[in-house]
Amino acid sequence: MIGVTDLWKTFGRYDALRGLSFDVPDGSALALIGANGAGKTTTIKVLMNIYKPSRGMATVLGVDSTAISPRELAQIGYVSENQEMPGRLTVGEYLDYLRPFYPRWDKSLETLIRHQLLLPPDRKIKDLSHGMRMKMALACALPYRPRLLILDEPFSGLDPLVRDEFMEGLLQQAGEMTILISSHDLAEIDGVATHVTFLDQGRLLFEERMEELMDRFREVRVTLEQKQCAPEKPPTSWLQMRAAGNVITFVDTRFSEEDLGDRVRGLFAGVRTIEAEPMTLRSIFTTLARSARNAVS
Amino acid sequence: MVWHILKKDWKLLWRHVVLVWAVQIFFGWMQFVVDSSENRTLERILDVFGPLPLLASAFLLAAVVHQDTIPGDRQDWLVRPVKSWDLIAAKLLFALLAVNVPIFVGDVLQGLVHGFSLSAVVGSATSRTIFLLIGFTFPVLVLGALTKSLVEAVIGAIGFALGVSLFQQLVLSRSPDALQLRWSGVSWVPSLVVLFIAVAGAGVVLGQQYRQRTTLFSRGLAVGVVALCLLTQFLPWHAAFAVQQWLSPSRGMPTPISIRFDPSLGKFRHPSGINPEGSDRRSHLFNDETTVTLHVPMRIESIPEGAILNSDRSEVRLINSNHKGDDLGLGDPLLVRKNDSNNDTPAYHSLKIRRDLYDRIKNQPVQLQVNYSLTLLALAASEALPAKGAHRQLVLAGSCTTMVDETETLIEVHCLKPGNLPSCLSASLEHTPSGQKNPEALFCEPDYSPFFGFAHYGPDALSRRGVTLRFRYADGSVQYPVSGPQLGESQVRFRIYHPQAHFKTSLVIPQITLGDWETQ
Repeated sequence: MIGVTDLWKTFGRYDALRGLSFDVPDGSALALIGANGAGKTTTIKVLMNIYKPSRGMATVLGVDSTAISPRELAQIGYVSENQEMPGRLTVGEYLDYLRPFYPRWDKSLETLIRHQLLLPPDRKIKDLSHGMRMKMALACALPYRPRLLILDEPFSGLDPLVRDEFMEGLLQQAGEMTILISSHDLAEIDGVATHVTFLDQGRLLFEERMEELMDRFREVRVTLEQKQCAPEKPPTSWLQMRAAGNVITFVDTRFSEEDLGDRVRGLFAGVRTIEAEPMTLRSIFTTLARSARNAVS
Repeated sequence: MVWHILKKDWKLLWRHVVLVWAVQIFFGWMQFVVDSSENRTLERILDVFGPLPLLASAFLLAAVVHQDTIPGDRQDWLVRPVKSWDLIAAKLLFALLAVNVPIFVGDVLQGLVHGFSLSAVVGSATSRTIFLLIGFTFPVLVLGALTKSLVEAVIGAIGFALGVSLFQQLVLSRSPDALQLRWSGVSWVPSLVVLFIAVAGAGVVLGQQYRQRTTLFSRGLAVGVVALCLLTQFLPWHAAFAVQQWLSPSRGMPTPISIRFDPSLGKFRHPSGINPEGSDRRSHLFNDETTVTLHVPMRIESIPEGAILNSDRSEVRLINSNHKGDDLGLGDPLLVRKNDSNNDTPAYHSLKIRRDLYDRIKNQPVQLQVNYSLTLLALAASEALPAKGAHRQLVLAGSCTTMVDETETLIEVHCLKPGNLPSCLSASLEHTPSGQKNPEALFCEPDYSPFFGFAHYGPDALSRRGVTLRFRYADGSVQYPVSGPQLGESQVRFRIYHPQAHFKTSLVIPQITLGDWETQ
């Protein structure tokens, strides 16, 4: 559905994207995650042909992103936190305006979504709150049943109730569509994403299926017989190692139930207990972001 | 989808459209009142605020483009299946419907209420509409496409005006090769070239910007187009005049007109009490304290009776003993009218020579060559209307009114006409019963353009000309044959001259001592 190969985007002297490569399989929901400035929005804007790549290429629906035509755009839904819609039109007027551009626009679905998202048809877009505007953007992106839905930081600035309504609206209509969602609010994509791509300063740190990612990250707590210092050179797959008295904690990024005990005992003497807890996506993200930052510094 | 996008823009901007139309109607009404009743207060208001309708239209045009802004990365239309050509076509259609067609309709109505025929009015209104579309609408649409907001567009327009002004000050005014055609009858030639460049340039910039959205590159392209337009000011005289000759109703010299030096006419002297400067608008360009004025006596042979010979340009060259030429510059405009049946017409041609050069050679015999580009203007019609309080439709002069001015020393004549004004016309006061007439005044503003509307940012598709004819001085110092008491039975007679032929000829004076012909 989406293929990105050695993608570079430069603004003046600043490299916003540095050789990015990843794929979004058909029917998947890929979360593009990363801290602010990681390159998520730039990647999406290159995919939508809003920016031209400086080097490398991206394909969307099998077409080079720089050659995307109205035919492809009619199959892509796009929702962004800073989308500028014509503020002086009402919600209803703008939907009326957009409808003829999409051959597959489903009027009954539009009505359903509008009611579901509680969008007032007679209110001008400029008079909508930020949350309502995001819902409006979603309502403009779903009625034509896009094959690909791209969501750029859709939850930014939304209160929990609106987020829930937004996600409810989205998930109910998701169907067979492929979703690319960028966010730094990981709690929200936890139940949505099937794949994760992690960006840091324009580079790809990893791209993985969500299940595999959750399986291989564990927060490990080792209790020792007596107080010990953390080893100077721990395995590279163990991050954020800390020692507090006789307790050592770290994040294992290559967790395997079978060999964790052996690896711990190989490094520490007098191991009393080993506890390995699954991590939330947010914890995984912050761990990786901190490690990346430490590596750079 | 063009119509669909247009309807959206109309829904968003209909209030602005109504406002612009209101401004246009209000100014059209004011212009009608001024033309009909000589209302000075309204005339002054129009002088100051005359550009307001076009300015309001410019804001509207920029606003319609900004409904779907091109620069930027957040606009919703960028992610919609909107074809760029549909978008351009919709904006252009909006411009036509909201700005250009209403201006056209206003022009036609203005002409009709002044009593002109529909065909005459539609012709000039169409010509002006095309000119405004290319010279005004397209550039404003381009400006809109290159900017994000109205503020940016205004800044861009100011930057453009400053750039053009700087180019004029720093380059054009200092270059001897520039502006050769300014104020001449062939100034329409570079204007036409500019229009062609503007059409092509607007097409390229709009196409590039809407399809590729490369704002910086498109801005560079636009600057290049403007530079190309400015370079037309370097169009050489002879090229433009050759175009004019090619278009001339009778190509080449209609009769073997020749110019020869005739020292027997004696030295030129200004009649006492008469201002040596003519009424020709071009003469002030050549006044300079560092020059010496010569009046070279000459005879011009074979001008048809009643015709006017106008020198559009005269290049003066000094040929030295080695047969090499030095350019002395341009001669003053020469306007000669044949009033009698003699074969040749005496005339003095005023030439200005740099004082330092003149002082060096004034007492030496030198060879002088003057290369003339000339236009023969034939009498097309003679028309008259009563001298006081008349309002009449004349065939060639247009719709004219006459009135005595507040000081009761002048007859003021105002004429309106769809399309171009005659290049030359003469006017005189004639007392009908006695046949006496006051000296004739000649008004020449050569414009040989085959189309109407070049550089015509005026209020409508009508051309206006006012002339004044003196019949007395307040202090009674000069007596006119036709004056106060006879005005009621007098008429203003116009003679209208149209260009008949454009040609070149040279005057070679093998030996002349310049000092002999310095003006006293």
